[in-house]
Amino acid sequence: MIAILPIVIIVLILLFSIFLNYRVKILSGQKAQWLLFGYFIILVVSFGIYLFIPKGAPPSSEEQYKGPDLYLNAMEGNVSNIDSKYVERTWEFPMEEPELNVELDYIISDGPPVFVEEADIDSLEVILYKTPTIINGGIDITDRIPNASVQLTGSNKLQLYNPNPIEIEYSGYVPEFTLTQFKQGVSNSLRITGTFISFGDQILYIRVPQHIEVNTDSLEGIQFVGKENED
Amino acid sequence: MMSLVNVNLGNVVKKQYLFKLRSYVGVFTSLVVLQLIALLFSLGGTGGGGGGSGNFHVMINYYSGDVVIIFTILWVFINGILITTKAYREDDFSFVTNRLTNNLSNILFLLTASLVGGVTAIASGILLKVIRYFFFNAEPIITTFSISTIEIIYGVLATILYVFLFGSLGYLVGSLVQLYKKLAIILPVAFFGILFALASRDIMLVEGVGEFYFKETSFLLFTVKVITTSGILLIVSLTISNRQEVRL
Repeated sequence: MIAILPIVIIVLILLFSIFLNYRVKILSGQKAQWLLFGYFIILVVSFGIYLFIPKGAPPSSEEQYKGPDLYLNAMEGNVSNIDSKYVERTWEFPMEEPELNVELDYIISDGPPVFVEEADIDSLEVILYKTPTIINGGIDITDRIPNASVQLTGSNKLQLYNPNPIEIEYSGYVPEFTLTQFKQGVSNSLRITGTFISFGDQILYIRVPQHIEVNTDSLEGIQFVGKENED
Repeated sequence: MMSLVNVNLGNVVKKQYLFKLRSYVGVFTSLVVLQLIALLFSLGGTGGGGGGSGNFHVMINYYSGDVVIIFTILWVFINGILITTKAYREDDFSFVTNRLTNNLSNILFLLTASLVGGVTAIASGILLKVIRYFFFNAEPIITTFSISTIEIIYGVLATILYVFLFGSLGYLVGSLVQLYKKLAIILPVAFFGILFALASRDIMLVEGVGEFYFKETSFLLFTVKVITTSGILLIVSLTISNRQEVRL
């Protein structure tokens, strides 16, 4: 309370200086009436416009999105359990060399986890799984989140990239305190934290032909499915 | 000289009230200026939050018209004081008047100011959202709560009541100052002095009094509290005003 007192005092001084001057006729009666009329018109028009502005639904615990646990499924080798709608992108590279060098271009904790599985296939496959990120159970921002990518350089160097982080900004509107005062179950602190975000995940799942030996310097970051991690 | 015309109290109050509405137009233009200043302050947001993972960060900036309401409350408080000042009182004597008609027309004026202030404060909150959407961030609005029609009606009425409560408080302060001019200095000093003194002992006076109104979740009880308090404040103001010397 004490902390906001200086602000209150400054505001009071500001207000006093405005109000003590208002008897000085800055605007004549006619002009003042036009100012008032114009202001009311702007308020009425803005109310009309506001009705047509798209609004995200308010939070509802029932609507909270629950996607599959990509990490758990991948670690247990159960990617087949993940619905194909969560496959964001697939890359396929023919393999001619007996070994594959995997290089991470990012710190693993800052980007998608990487899994490697040996499979009975002829070419190298990389699958990017991505689950939705949804604000308040209604605003889907999944497509705005940049995807991890891969590139095969040379004949056997697979580079994994995580794009630079992006900032997504939204405007959240908190009803005025007089509008929420009589609403059941709304405390003052809840007024500004009544938004939730269901964060989606990304994982990179690499399927390599069985005869290919996988080498990597990022041992801590790469999980070998169905094997103990090599030291 | 005595007048033989039978003057009706209601008519005098009505005439004075209508006169005040016309001549105190500055009160309302200052409201517009203030609410626009409050809107400017509010455009910066009242807080924010968010989160993210490695490759994205979602930031939600929250906006609210709370500041507009607070400014409107300060506006009516100061105007409550100002309409008791000599400059305003002089206007009243253009009419056949006495303390009672003067006070009644002032109260009616305060009620009107509260009505206009309360409604425009809530409407300014909507204007804030429209400005944010079109000039700053044309994304779908994230609403933190759904507000039903009845809650909107309660909200507008509550805003009007808050504004009237502080208008009545300002009117009392103004009446006290008119009775004893030195109170203009003593009252704010005493108020802040007591506030600081109690706060240093962890007694939050404003918080305690504020909770009585701001944390009342029953609209009916809130209305009773505000009307009763305003009534008491205005009756005390009327009593004080009647103690002032008669103007000849």
